[in-house]
Amino acid sequence: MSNLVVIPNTRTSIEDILKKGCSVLLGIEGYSVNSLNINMKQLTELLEQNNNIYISLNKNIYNDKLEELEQLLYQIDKLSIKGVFYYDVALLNICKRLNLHINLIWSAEHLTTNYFTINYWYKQGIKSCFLSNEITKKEIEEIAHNTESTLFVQLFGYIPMYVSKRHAINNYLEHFSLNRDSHEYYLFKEDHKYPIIDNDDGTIIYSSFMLNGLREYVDLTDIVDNIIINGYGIDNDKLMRTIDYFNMVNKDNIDVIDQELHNLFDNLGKGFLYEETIYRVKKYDK
Amino acid sequence: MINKPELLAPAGDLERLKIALLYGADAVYCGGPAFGLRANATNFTFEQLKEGATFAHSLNKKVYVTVNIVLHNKEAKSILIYLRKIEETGIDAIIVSDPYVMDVALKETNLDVHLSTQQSTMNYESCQFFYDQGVKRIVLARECKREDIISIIKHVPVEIEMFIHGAMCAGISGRCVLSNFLTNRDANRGGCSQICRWDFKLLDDANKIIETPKDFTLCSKDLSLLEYIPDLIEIGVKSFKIEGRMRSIYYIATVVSIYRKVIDEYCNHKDNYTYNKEYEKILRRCANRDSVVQFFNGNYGTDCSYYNGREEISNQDFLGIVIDYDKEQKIATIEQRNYFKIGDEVEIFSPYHDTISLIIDKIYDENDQEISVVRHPKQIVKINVDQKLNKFDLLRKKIVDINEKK
Repeated sequence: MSNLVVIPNTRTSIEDILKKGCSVLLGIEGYSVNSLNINMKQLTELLEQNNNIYISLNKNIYNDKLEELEQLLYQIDKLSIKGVFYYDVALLNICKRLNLHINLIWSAEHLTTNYFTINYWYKQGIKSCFLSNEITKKEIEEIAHNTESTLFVQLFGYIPMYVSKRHAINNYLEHFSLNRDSHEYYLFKEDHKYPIIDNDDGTIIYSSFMLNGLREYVDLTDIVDNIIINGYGIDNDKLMRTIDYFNMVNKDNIDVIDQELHNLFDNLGKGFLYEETIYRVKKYDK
Repeated sequence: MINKPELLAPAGDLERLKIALLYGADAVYCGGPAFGLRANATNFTFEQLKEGATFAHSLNKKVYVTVNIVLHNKEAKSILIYLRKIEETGIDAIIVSDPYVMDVALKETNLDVHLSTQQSTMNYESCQFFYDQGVKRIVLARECKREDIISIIKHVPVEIEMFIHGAMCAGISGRCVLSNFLTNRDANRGGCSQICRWDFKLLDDANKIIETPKDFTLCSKDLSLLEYIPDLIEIGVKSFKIEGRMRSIYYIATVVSIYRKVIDEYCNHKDNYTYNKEYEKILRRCANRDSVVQFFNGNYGTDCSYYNGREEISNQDFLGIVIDYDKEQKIATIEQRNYFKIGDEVEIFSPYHDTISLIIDKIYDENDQEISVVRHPKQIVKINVDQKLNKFDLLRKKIVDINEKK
């Protein structure tokens, strides 16, 4: 049976998520993208109440952040964190060099796509992996059957599609001498609306739809250890109801529960769960 | 004595491989039959890789092959067989992104392994990790600043390669899958459909379109570090990489020859070196996009992107390629690439001699009949040229800076 790991949208939802028996995945200010970010003091306070917490340090790390990162990892090593999602290999190297015993989770976003590479990292001591959203359900199953690694798979919510160091919105508005007076921005093209965020770390763009892998959750629950619900862009009430649906769904009630989810959200999609991306047209001369 | 860096050029096919090396590249990189990030480019067969490697080695130069896609299960299964076939071609190194490919290549082949910029390596801790695994060279993330590069070189003895010229990703390499979502083409497996160059409407939190003179785009300007070449040499960057495996032979020859000149001028005459701004004009002339310094100096603000005011200038400077020269008759045989005619003021540039300027006085067709214009693609014609030319010399319009014309 999979555990549910939830990325909260607001500070207030953290406690509600934990009360439902789920884990939360939080970012740390200055080190994380695609997450709700808090600072170390807040993290320590949260851990005093509940240690069902993962953190994500998934930014690409600039050189001048390394010393600070090292101190941060020292602190985290002393906390009872369930695990640390990471993107940059610098985290692994620091942990190895300092002999830290943090449960690192390979979370290279779109690069975690096959079990051979997952097993390579496993041999390097990385016992967990957050799979890419751009692989099919069949590929997820194949990975699960061919690795000892503990798997995390996102099956609900908006999907991050783009991370940049550039400040796309700020630059655009500045170029046309406009003020930044909206809280949220969206890119719009051919009836699709893509959430776009420009903050201190750069620019992030999300999918136009929310992934709904509720049916797949029923199928994968015995082979995937952790299912991630991304709460980005979902209000607290709807997020809690979504968690309830995932907690109560089974093979017998899936049709009813899935319909409930569709009643709650009008932009659900299956992403790449059944659609393989095209990558090559021509064949090579084997 | 300064250690000259390697000038590394893209090669979309065998012709461009030869052009790049003849015009001054020390090495080229190209895609093999599979697993490269330009999946729909011509790319090289195993036989062509072998021919390219032989050609490069005859000039004491090198060929690197990209094996830098992000593997899915089914591709990973066949990677070892593929790497062994690549090794048999005699090329000098592979450029990989997926750590599993790196591991297989290091353990099962004798290939040198370079880590692709797709890994977005931008600090010395991650460089140290990959160096410890056995990687010979790391292509740094394009987001690296000058101070990052200095620090990395100071901390880790791995060879450092960095992009000095060409197109930029708007996002962090490996962290953009816009192409997957909007066109179903896999960006990390060579299918990128460049969504960053598309137009979008920008909406506010009330779902209202933000009215601006131009639609929103993520489009980045190109990179050029021409002015910083001496600095990069002093910093100790091992290899200077030019982007553009899809670019024309004219672009490759022009860009390579300019960077070759700057590297040689600085390394050979460091004390008397002065930056020649005329070279910028020549580079601008062969590209159809603006180039800026991007992240290197830490100022990646509004000037680094386009805001849909971009006008792509269709470049027709490249007139033809020399395929033969008759020393007795002093006649060059040219394969046409763009329209030219009697009376045109042209230049012939070459890796073998200084640029020659001349006015075309006569043109002959393949049957030695006089003609006045050359208008057919790849038409074979002959022109009078007193100075000896070589195969692969290029004929172009006399360079006049486009911006000055405006």
